[in-house]
Amino acid sequence: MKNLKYIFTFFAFFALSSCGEDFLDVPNPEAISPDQSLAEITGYEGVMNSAYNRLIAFSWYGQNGMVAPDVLADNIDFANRTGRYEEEQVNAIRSHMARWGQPYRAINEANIIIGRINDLADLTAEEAITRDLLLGEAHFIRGLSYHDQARVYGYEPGQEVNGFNLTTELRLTPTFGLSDATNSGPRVTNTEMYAQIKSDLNESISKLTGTVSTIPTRADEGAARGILARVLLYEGSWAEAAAEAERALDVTPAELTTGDDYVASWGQPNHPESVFELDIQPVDWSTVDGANNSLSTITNDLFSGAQFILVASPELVSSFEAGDIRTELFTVSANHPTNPTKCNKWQGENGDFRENIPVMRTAELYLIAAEGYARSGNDSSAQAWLNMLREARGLPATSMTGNDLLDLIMNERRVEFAFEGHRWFDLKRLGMDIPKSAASGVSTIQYEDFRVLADLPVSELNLNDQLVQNPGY
Amino acid sequence: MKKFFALLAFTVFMVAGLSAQKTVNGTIVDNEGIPLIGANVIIKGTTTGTITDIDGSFSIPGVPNDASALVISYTGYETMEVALDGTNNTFDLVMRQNANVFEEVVITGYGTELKRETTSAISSIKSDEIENLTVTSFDRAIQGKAAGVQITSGSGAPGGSAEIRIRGIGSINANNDPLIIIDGVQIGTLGQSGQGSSNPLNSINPNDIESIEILKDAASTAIYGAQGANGIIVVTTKSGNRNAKPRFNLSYQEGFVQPDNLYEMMNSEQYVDIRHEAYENIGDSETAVALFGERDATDLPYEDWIDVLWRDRAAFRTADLSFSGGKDKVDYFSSISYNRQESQVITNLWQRVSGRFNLNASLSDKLNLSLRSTVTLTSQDGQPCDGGFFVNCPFAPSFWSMPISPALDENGDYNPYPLNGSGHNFSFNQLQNAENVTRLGRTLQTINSISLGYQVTPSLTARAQFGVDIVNNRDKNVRPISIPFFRDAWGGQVVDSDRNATNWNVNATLNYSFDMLPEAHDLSVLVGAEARREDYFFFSATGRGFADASLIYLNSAADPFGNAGFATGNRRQAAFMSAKYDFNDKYIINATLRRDGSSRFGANSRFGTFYSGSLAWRISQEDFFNVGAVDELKLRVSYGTTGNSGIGNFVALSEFGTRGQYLSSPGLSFTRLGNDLLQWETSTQLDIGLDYALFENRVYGSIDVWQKVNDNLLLDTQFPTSAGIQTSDIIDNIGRMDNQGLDFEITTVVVDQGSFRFRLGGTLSFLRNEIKELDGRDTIFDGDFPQFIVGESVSFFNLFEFAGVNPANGRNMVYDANGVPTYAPTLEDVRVLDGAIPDYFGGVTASFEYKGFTLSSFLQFQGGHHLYNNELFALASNSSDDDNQLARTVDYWREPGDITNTGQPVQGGVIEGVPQSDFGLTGSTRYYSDGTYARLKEVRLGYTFSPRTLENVGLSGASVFVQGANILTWTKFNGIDPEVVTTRDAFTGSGSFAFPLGKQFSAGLNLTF
Repeated sequence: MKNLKYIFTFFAFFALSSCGEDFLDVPNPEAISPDQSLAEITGYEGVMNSAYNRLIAFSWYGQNGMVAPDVLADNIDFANRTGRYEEEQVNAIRSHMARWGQPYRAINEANIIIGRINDLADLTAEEAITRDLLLGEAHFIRGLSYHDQARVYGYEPGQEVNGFNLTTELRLTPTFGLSDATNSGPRVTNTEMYAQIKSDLNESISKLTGTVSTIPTRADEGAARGILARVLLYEGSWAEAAAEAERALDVTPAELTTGDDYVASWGQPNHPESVFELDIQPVDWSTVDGANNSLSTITNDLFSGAQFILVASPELVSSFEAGDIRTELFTVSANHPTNPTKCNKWQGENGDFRENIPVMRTAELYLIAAEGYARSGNDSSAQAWLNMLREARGLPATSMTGNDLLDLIMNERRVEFAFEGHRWFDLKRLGMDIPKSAASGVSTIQYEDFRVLADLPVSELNLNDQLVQNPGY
Repeated sequence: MKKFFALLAFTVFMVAGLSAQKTVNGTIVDNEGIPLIGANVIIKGTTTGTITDIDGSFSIPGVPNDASALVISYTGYETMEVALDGTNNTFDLVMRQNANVFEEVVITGYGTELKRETTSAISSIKSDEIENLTVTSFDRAIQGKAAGVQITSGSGAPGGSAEIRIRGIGSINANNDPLIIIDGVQIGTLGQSGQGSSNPLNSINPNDIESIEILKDAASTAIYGAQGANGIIVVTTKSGNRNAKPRFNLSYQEGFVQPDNLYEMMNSEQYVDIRHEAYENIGDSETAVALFGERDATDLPYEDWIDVLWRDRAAFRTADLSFSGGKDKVDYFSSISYNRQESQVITNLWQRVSGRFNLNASLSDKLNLSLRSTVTLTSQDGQPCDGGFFVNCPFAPSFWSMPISPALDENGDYNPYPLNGSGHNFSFNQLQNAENVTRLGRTLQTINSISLGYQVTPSLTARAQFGVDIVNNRDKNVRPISIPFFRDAWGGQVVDSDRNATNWNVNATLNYSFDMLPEAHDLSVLVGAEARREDYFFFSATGRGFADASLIYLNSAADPFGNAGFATGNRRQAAFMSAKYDFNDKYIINATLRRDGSSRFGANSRFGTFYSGSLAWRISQEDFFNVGAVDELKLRVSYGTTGNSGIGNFVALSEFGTRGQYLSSPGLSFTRLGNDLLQWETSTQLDIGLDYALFENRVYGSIDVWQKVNDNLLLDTQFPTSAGIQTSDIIDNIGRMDNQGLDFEITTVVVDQGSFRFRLGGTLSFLRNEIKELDGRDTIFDGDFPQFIVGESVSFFNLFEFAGVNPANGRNMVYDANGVPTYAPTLEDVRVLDGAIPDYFGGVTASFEYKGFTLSSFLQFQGGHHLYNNELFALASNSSDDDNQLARTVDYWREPGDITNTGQPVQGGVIEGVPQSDFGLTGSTRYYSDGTYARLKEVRLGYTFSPRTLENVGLSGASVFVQGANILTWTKFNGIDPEVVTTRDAFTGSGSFAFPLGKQFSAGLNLTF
């Protein structure tokens, strides 16, 4: 049987061709199943990292969230016109802050931690501490995310126009499968939403009590209290807002910088005033993001190839009082033919246009306290808080009261937080009309104008028929 | 006059020897001048004769003087008769290949058959249609030559990609690329360079190809089961002839490419004028003066950036040496080739060196071995990035760079760009960028197969094959500190990347013929098994902080900035069988069955079964059929299913993976929500075809009408983003799509008189595509816009209908839903417009042969589709920013009453909150045009020397040619090249700065010795 070897060879090939069933089981070498990941506390730590990382998206704190509220109002004009933010400057219909999807990703990651982390059994004492901290941070992220959405898509409680009080869809349970993903609900009212946000932040405070982040890139008690103070201010709970701001200042390690230190603080890797700031690493950006999308490229011409689109409007520049140390951050750009006034807050000091982004600075807590007290009838406390800030910024103390004091606080917020994403919301939460810069060519937007609220993405309406679009769109 | 006397003397001599016997001799070659070995030469009416030797020579002594003619015959060639008139005893004869295509061998899945026996729709393209073209990969050579096969250039870069669609677009989100099998190896597409457009078929030297078979219907593709839904291309490389002495073939070609139909841009004066207008219209002439000087200034500096960045003539050269031959038990074919092409864009050079060795050996009477091996090194240097609005690659900036900002200063050093400091184009001086940036890709690919055939018994054959396809690529990308942007942002950057793809196939088949059946019945059965495994690895390392622009290795990086790497892979296994029954050469029935498994699908649904049945009826073999003019008439019907598994490797799995980081610790999140019920997309195809040959095989071809229905479409289905998953879609089996078409192929010999022959042939295909069902929905949205609509083609555009520029105020207008012009349209006004899939396409070949001359031409066309030209978004933007504008837009709106299509220039491009380009939502028909084109792809004039004239120089064959490619184009398309459009499958189908093809001219020669 000399054929045998050939037949043998053939069958060897045949066998090779039809290797066993498990031949087709090919695991992805780069991913693991959710159950596998979440069997250990380290999995939840990773989920938390992802949630923090969501906040630095260009649609959120990474860019749009810091400049769009100033463009939509009256703080920002153009050095170079590239098409970007031009529709926002003239408040064109549907040109608002498109901030629907990204916060939900952070929210889902918070939901994964909140919904599942207590399933972990047999934790060591150390791991149990980590678990509680993660829970505290998850509630913080969820509260912050919902507030950032609520203030774009809905009116604040008590400031409704024509009684329209819906905010956004509330998702409090994690998405693990397609059925969870499609289990969407309607938009909840602003009072329901604010109750949820406050509950999240209070829960966060209870888990983070006593925590202090010296480098405030993760939420600590001060951050949670600070954001709660901001939420209370938006809600119009003035006295509570002031009290919470004071408590936040008690526990946060962040200081108020003064004089030249303030000016220099913007060139430091971690802003010394940060109650909570976001860390950005080189890998967070593609090779072109620094030049295309960073706050630095959009607002400054420090680097070759910078886009240098957005500059301070003359109206903003004239809002500064004489002697204000902050004006040193607003300098004339000699390189640009029209010599506009640029803002030097975003200096890209960490390389490739990159820097950390403060979400909340101590100055905001001083101004929340001042405003909270002023609006709840305690002008003297209001003056005290306001004057501490003014002194730090090289301005004389004020003794104004009543509406003058309130106007001064509003102006203080305008100049203190220019290019930090507050102007639009400060006007809106108070039901005020939105003034526009002369260069925009647009007249004041009445508070009742439907463009004060952003439009919901049509794609989302197509996928969830319980959602209703905002009025006017 | 001398000749006349010689002839006269000869004649006298011949007449004198009238009653004697004589010796007749000569040579016989084929139409390429290659000697035919073993051709029969006999004296007509006798059995006396001989066969030609290794040089194609023959000599017959003792031929009676009254013999009337010689009869020469050779398998595969037309038998010829040569009159013996008594005056001439030496003959140099050229035999013509048998025009009867029905006797040709067709290569099919796992076997071969004669064309007359096939029951399925297969197009064949032979080597003579592929050789010595100016293309770098064979896919471009089959464009327009096979009905139902649409080839679209993805890039005109040398070695650039092309897209092959066989019988339409069957799938929405799964892959639409056909399976390509080279000498039995199912090749992969991974591992190619990322530095520019790369074609995975570059590893095959087109001159090595013997034939290309395109399997189009289910009867031919079902045996490949889940890889068959998009059709199959089977490539067979050349073999040597047994018992032939070594034959060397040298071919050499040299030529150049010229850019064709580039945009004409504004000059400095026009540019400064429109910039001023744009700034003045936002009330800011101060900025305009600061940036561009006075409006009416003259003697401005001028730079023609197109001239700077494009070559007038890009040279190319190919040299190819092959040798082949064989002994009685062995034959071989081997080749080495070198291909060098400059591209139309400066600094870009593409080179390929390839070697091949093919060997067939009879190891014993029963055992045959076949080895096929090729190794190819491709290098692409300075390859520009291709397509898109990239500021640091030459395409877009060659058009939009400011004409007032010269590339070089008076010392020949690079100027800063732009000179006025406006920051345009991210301040990249594009000339410096092209010259200083390194973009280098080197790809080594080897495709090898070994197969053993064993004749177990006369009726049972066993065959086993192992094939492997390995690609290794190394890319280097250097962004040096000599460029200000890279210096400031990164201190220079070097990225080295490495890709490695391994793809192996193994299969074994048994073929049994039932020879105990009665004479009229032929039955054979094939069973087989197959496995395939594909693995892909990638890593890259990035360094920043280089002290000098000439330091380009990572060791010199002050900042070892980052690294990346991943691995992926998939596996398949299958068992299959087919049976073929042939009754009396008249009725042929074929059936195939395949069971396929793929690692890509959910554990519960990873196996699928595919089948086909087909029959052919050779009507012309019937006794009752007696139409003299018809040589062959065969009716074919086939029906069957194939599958598509062309999705990502792991999409069925719900997965957590690394996503982002925070404080340098990795983030972990859902990278995908999986669908474990995911299964095969199936394609069911019905094909009715007719193969015909008329008038003594002077007209032949085929007609097919077909319908392909893809079910369980693998579709990205969206779920609400409020679910909080990064990618808010999931691949699901949803919906049904229908493709219908008509394919015609015809070849005719119009004139065949003496040494003059005129041949005309062509292909023509009609195609219709329609989405039939989408999981009960009418429309699937992508963002705000319909992406797929039941009843529409898979390709359409969501655009406003442009209503022109209002003469009163120069604002762009579009029609609203009621047909009323508006400045600020809404979503309701968006129209669904004809998409980018052609309704028809094909090609026409004409060739004239006279004596040794051949003039051939090939015209390719496609039409009935539209394209949206995204490039105009920048280049005809009413000067919304510093981009230079098309020269024709100088007729912009200036004052009330102006009638023009170019609206009022406005810096920023926004009037009263409405962007003039896309109205804040989508583009308009302003940039949309008919994509129909016809292109003279090839014109070639060749001359083949007769072997007799070559004898003295020791050559057995020689030919020379001149040719041109893409030399004429007829189109209404508003862009550069209607053939090269990026992303044709996508519903947008828009083009932006893809690399156009250009005109090519070349001359070359072939020598055989």
